[in-house]
Amino acid sequence: MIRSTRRWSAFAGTMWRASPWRCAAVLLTLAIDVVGQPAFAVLLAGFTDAALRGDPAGAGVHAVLAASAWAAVSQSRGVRNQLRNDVRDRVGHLVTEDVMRLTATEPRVDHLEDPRTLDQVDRVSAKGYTIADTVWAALEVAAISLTVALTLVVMSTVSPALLLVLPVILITLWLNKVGQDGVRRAVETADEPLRVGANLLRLTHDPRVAGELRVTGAGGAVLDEHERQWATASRVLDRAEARAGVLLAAGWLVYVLAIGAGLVWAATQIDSGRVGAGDLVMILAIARQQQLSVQMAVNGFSRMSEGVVTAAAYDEVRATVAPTARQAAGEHDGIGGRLHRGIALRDLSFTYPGTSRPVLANLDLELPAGTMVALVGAHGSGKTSVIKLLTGMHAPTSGRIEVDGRPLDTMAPEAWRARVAAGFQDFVRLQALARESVGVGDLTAVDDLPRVEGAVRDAGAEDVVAALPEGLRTQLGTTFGGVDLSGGQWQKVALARGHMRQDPLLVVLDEPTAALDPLSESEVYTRQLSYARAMARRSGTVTVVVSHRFSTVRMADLIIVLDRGAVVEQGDHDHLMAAGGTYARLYTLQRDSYVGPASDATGRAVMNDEH
Amino acid sequence: MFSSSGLRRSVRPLALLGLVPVRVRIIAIAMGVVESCLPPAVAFSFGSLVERSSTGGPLVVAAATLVALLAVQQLSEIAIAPIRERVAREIDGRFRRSVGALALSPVGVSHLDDPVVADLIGRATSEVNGFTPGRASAAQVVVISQVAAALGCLVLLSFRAPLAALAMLVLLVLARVSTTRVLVRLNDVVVRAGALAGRADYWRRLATGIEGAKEVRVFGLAEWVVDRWRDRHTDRVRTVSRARARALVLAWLPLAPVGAAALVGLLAVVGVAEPGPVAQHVMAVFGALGLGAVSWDVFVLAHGRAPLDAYDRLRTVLPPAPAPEPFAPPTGGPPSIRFEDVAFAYGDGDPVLSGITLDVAPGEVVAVVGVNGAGKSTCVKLLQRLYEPDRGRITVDGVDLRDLDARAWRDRIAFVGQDFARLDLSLRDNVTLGAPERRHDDELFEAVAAEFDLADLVPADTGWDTPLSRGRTGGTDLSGGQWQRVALARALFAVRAGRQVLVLDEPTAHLDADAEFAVFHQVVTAMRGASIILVSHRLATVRFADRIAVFRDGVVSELGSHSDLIASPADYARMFDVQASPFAEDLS
Repeated sequence: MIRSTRRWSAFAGTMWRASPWRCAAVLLTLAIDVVGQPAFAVLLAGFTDAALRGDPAGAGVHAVLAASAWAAVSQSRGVRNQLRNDVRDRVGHLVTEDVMRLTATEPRVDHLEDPRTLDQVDRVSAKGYTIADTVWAALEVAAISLTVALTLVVMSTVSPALLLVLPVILITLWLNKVGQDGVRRAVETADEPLRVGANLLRLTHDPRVAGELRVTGAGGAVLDEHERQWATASRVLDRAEARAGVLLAAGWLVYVLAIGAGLVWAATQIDSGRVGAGDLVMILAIARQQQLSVQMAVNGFSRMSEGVVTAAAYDEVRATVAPTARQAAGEHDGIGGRLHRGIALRDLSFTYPGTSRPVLANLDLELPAGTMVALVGAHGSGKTSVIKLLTGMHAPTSGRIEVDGRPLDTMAPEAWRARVAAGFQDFVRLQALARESVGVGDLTAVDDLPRVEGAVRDAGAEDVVAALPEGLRTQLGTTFGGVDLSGGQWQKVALARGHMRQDPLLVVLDEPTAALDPLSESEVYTRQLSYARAMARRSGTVTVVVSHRFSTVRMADLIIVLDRGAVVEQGDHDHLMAAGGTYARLYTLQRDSYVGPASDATGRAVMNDEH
Repeated sequence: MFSSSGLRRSVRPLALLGLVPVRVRIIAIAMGVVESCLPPAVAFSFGSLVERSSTGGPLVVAAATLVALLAVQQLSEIAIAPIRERVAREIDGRFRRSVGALALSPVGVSHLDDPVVADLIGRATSEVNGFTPGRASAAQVVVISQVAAALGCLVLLSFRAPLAALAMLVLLVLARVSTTRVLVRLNDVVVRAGALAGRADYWRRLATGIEGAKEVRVFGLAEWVVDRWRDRHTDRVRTVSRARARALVLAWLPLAPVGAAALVGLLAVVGVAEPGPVAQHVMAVFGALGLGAVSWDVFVLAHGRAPLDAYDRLRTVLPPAPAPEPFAPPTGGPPSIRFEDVAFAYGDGDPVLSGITLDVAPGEVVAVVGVNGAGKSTCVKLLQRLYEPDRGRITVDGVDLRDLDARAWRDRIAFVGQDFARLDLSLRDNVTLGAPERRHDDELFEAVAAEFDLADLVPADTGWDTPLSRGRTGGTDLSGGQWQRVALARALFAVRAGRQVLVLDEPTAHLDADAEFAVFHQVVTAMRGASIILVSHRLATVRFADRIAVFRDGVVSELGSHSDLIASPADYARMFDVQASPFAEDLS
């Protein structure tokens, strides 16, 4: 409770800082609401009495004041909506930026591989503004409570008995809370079908699958499924909202009966002169206002619930993402200009967070300085995990990685990565200017055109750039209305990005040619090989390649064969062929697919090996 | 005052009520009617209660009427919240379906390359801050009943003070119109800025998603990405904020006519001495002022219109699709397919194909190879009629593809592409939707699933009905390679369901070369009998095709069996040599 109070006051503080004068103006409009409503009722009563007394001057003054009060109240609501939305946009902006930074600067990727955290990050970063809604709603509810209290005081001047509606209002609010809790639960339950439905709907206009849906004819079925998901969500929400409505109606029915009784009682008193027609007008006006006020409070409550969920997710994101990021910050200095001994994996084990099966078990490996190392193995053998650990995407579960004898976890991740160049199979298709898409490989040189051109040349991507209408100044990708590239062209851009790094100690290439045709593939590997050699001479750089292309693998200085997270063989090509083990078998299989006889058995053998 | 199309456009959200079930529609409309009648009725009944009490008449009937009316008013106000949400959801569900159906309706896919269409689809499916067409529709019911209620109060006033009522009407309409105009103009700005924000979302997803996470980290791009997002998003926030500030200033102006209306209304009763009419009059003035006040609903209405407008424009932009012929199982064997001098360019771009001539005999396996960008995939898309050739023609058993019903032709094709669909549905659905016409043929499905060893992809207890999505309860997440198997099983299912032309367009990008070789081998063996067109740049894979077509510069530069091609010193031999020569050394 204390924690949540603190949390919400922190949010309120964020809002205030986001735009102090707007927040102040919103508070002002709330104040107008609080004072204006009871004032209006009182003035209306005064007017009625004056009119009945035949006092035109009094009636006139009351009329002017009542009209002003009405106008002020209704105007202040419109103004408040606009200001409120403005602040909400700004707060949404701040929250999104915070979560983006939090998520993206976390050096590891564990949090992004955990579906729950990923969902929460997405919710908070996309819907951060709902937190502001909650704060506003809370303030509004408070203001409304004040209004109701004031109107009650005013009513009690006619008869204290009318204060009896207070407990009725409280019961109504409680019933409302019960109903809204149900609605909130329903919103959570409906989230899954809504999300699934939205994903399905997106497929109908996703250019990547547009062809397939047309050819198979599955479009109709996808729409049907979307509709079914939507209907499931709707049913849940309909039911909860209807229930909330019934609960609320029960409360209000009692309220109306109480007010009705009050009115009738007051009407019977008119003869006696203790109650005037003005009082009746006032009671009715107040009853109306109270209904509207409480209705607004109810709406406020329901607007609160989404922000509450978002805020809880925000808290959790901050708790789960932030600590590892700050902990891991090691020293920035001490990474030398040259690799002397190399990189070593010592008794390294790794299990993906949230899973139980270790993908790497007690791995001991030496990657000597100045060598090119190839990792070989079937899917799931742990090749990609080794790459991820070397680049610091995950921390080892046990054991450690040493760079020239120094544990990797004592280095600041960004300092280590400044000395790592990489090309991945699942490269990012960066929707930016071609110059940037390459240049971000070294942010310090993103504006250094000669460097960018050099990287393009080194990666053999000149043909891609030459084909662009505005060369390196061309916007790439369709997101911002630029030129779309083919998979192979994108891949070359990604490789050029890797070439921006000038002085890497480690180069990782995780199947960097998957999207390339044979000629480009061979060209890329030739270039990478000579690049690796040059780097090795200059800085003792280690190049680690994951490839299924044995024509490339065989050229490595060291070939490491992994199987289910363990090293089964290592050595150079000749050594491993002579040993006649897994490597020799895999190599022969691939060789036969090119130069051997065709047979179904070959295919089956490889299949079984893969899965 | 309105042209008929203007009127139609202005009540367009209301017309959406036609989409909801009759029962819900009747309830919604009834609710609107009740809401419109109550304020004048309450004012009237209140007046008579005060009248009775001051003249000493019997109170019971008047009091009971008033209390009953108040109760009804209260209940209907409570009921309207869930009802309008229900109506909104009913409409939005159908509306979304219509948008999806519209996006799917063109025979080809060229519309999806058009940025205008992409933008319209984006707007039609966006729901900025929860403003949807359904909510707009429900809001329009509410707005109309609010206006009707206020007008009813004015009618009540007009019996005693016709001139004052008329003056109020003029003043309040003036206030309403000017406020609405300010809001609508604001709405336009918000919608345009929303499109901007939608694009900024790319950077948000890059910073917070798993895609690109490795490169963002290795290259230290976090702050750079956040900066991109902030630049674009700040623009949006600023633009909208400026528009709001302007709207706020303008929104004060209508306050004068509202205040004046209140004053005119109230002063009209000064001098009347009977309490009953005075009370009634005061209440009616109070009710009439609602005409000048613009509620939140007007905003919902204005914003929720945007997706609807986008949809309506989309309908005029997209070519109407011909009604497909009903499904008829293909008769006879696989067709003979012929590309005759086919040329094609995307939009105004350079030609991708400049004269492809190629035939595929029934039951033949033809492989298409070539460097990146040689037009292999484009050729496949033309065969599927996703685009129309600019020149030349494609014939199926001698008939021009353009003269065939697209649906009927596609019902003969099984297809796996590079970006196959990963449906958030069960494993079963993911496979059987390769041929929806046999979707419920469990026997066929199970045979295919067994052939592709799919059982190990899903937990035994939920089996084939396990959703393939980690976001779903009991769902399971597949790796790229596992999805591949599902996609291939989908194609196999389609072939077994009777589709005779199998098109494989590099569906194995997620597999390594060896696995691809094996998979193709298995697929080709399993699907013998169908005509197979397979696109790949991995030469080991295509080696065993009946014929191999090499694409170069938009034409077929070589055509023949592997042994034919390897014998001539051209592209194919060169490419094959690059990959095979390192191995050949071993054998020599």
